[in-house]
Amino acid sequence: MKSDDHNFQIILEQPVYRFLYVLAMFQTSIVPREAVEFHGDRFAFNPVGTGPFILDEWIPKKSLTADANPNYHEVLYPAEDEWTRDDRRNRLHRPAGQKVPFVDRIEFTMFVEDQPMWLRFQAGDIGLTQVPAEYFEQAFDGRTKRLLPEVRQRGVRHDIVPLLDFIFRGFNMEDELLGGYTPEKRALRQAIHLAIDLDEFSETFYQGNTIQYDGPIPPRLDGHPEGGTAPVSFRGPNLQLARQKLAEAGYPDGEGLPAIKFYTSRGGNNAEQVEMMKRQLAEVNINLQPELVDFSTLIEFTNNKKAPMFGFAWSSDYPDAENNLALFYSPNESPGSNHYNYKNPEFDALYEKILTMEPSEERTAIYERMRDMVIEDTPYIGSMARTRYYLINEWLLNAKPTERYYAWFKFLDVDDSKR
Amino acid sequence: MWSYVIRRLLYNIPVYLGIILLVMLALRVNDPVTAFLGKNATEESYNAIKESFGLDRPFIVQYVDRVRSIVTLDFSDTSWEQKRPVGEMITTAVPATALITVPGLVITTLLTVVIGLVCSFYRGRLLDKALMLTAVLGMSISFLVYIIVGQYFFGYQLGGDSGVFPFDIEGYDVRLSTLGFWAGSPVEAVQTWLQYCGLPVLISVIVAMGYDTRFYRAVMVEETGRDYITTARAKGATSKKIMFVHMLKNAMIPIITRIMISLPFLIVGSILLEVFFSIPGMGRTLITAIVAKDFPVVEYMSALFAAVVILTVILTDVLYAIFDPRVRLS
Repeated sequence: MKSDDHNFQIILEQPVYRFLYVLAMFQTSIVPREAVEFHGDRFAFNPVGTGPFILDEWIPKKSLTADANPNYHEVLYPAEDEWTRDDRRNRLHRPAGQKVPFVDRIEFTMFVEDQPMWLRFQAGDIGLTQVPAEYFEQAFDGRTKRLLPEVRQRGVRHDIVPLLDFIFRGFNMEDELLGGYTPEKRALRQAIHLAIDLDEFSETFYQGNTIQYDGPIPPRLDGHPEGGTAPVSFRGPNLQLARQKLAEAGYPDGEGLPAIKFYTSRGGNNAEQVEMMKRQLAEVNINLQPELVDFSTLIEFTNNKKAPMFGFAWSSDYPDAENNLALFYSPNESPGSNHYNYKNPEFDALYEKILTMEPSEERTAIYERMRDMVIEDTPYIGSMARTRYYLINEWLLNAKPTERYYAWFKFLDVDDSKR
Repeated sequence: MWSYVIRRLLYNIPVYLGIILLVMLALRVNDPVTAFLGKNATEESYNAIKESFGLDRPFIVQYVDRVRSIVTLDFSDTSWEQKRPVGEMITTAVPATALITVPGLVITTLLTVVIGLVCSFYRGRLLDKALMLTAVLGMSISFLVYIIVGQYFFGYQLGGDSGVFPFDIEGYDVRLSTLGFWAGSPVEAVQTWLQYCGLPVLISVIVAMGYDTRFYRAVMVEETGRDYITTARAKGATSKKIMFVHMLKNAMIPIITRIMISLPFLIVGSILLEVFFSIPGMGRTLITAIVAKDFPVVEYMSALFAAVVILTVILTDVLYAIFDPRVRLS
């Protein structure tokens, strides 16, 4: 509802805590209606908004340049007491209270291949870069994950950003073989879960740069289990318990268990990941039958509830576990985001309750309860979250990357004397 | 000759239509809208995108529409991903590609033909063996290795502490694609071209030299055994004249064939070079369109490539007739 030329009100039917997060997402940026109507689906290439920069040029998949917005409203650099000790060590607090943005122009370069990006960073042309997996050990000690002294001596610093990832392999809870809520059906899924070694996946495919954890709530969010391990846990490898669970499911030593069809997209290193999964499950005589399909086919199979088991991942839209727990809310069943087609009335009731709750110990306790309910029912195998390593050249100041919100670029500054 | 050309063009029409049909069918085996939208699209957004992409129409209508656009050179359909007309994407990508591939082809051809002539003249001797060994070694190394080592050495290591790098290993100055830049400040244009395109051209020449040198040597060696060479020698013609006048002229058919085979790839570009050097040419545009499931771009570029291949084959026959009076087109 419009209040005046510069203000408006949004009236909600009931309190919804996530609404605050939604407002901070780029999809809810304030933009002029006439510009959207004029540019139509090319609005993204001709953005008009209220941000600190004005788009100069955007060549998709190549580069994006933006100039400082001279009419940007007054936004001050965060106060000194808002920075952590680590941030202070990196001198991020120094410009506290000053008006942003500091730079006249900001340039992004998108690289398809890692090598030119890496070389340009090393040459000092780029201020900030992600560390490509294949070059990780040129900057960090592979074992300790610490920045190498020779890199630090060049004035380069690093930042580690744990992503709000939920990487999993899901079960279709309506599948005749794998689905269902009886103790036998649960035991079968738990047996599969127990046979999988996520640490081996992490070491082989992510250079060990992932966090393995129980439940669907990523690290750093309320409800994430302490140390990653929940009171109820079926994270493997525990082959002895897996065999026991298989027997409980009615398949002693895997006898009589039909091959399990697992659908995943054929992109990236999925073919290799599937081979590892197949080998790990074979150790308890579970026969995995992988189907590497086109991504659209994978979506079609999960949307139509035809995939008994599938490989997906979820990246939280905002830093609240509610976003991940919504994946198990029964009204969201396929083709919605609940691709497991998980249905649990008690879970649903709790989910509806947390929607209106503000962060509190009570809400965290409910998150934990919901997390453990899901772990007990095991509608997926998981979980993993990637950790992103960033390197920052000495001349780029105030860089503290996050991958959730993109408003931090306005804080960047440049020390030309160090270029 | 013209009747031959027109006849060949007519014969190729069904082939061309078939290629467009196959490409369109292949891209629709899996639902392109689902692939484009990802896993959590709502039914409304799915239907809206399907309609806006024109995929709600029967396939035959889509096919006829696409063929009509191609035949009338109306490339105004927009890219699904970039929301720009496909024609605009192609016209900006072609010069970028041509600035790498054309100099690469010209330099490679000139060098390898000369080396081929020298090798055939010194056949079996140390120089011939050394050059052939180098060619085989050059061929044996992957294109990718040349790019990775080339970027590291020329674009990074050579600069050392000075911070001055002879080549830029990433990027492209869009002014290079404009005639005004070349006409207005040719020296600056050449310097800019060397900065961004010098290394990719150098790598493409090195990679192609091994293959082409061996090919041209074989062609020239065959020519050295011909009677007209013996006759020329008997008449007292100099070695230079025998090589560069008599032999070269008679070897033009395989040389033309080799060059013409390369022509379509000058348009499509070198995907590897363009991807690694972030040059926004045709190869990079095509590969990013495939990855992004941007099917209008893939379809139009496939149609363009097919047209270039067909025209090249016809043009090759015409050139045979021009360079060799014994060839008659009928």
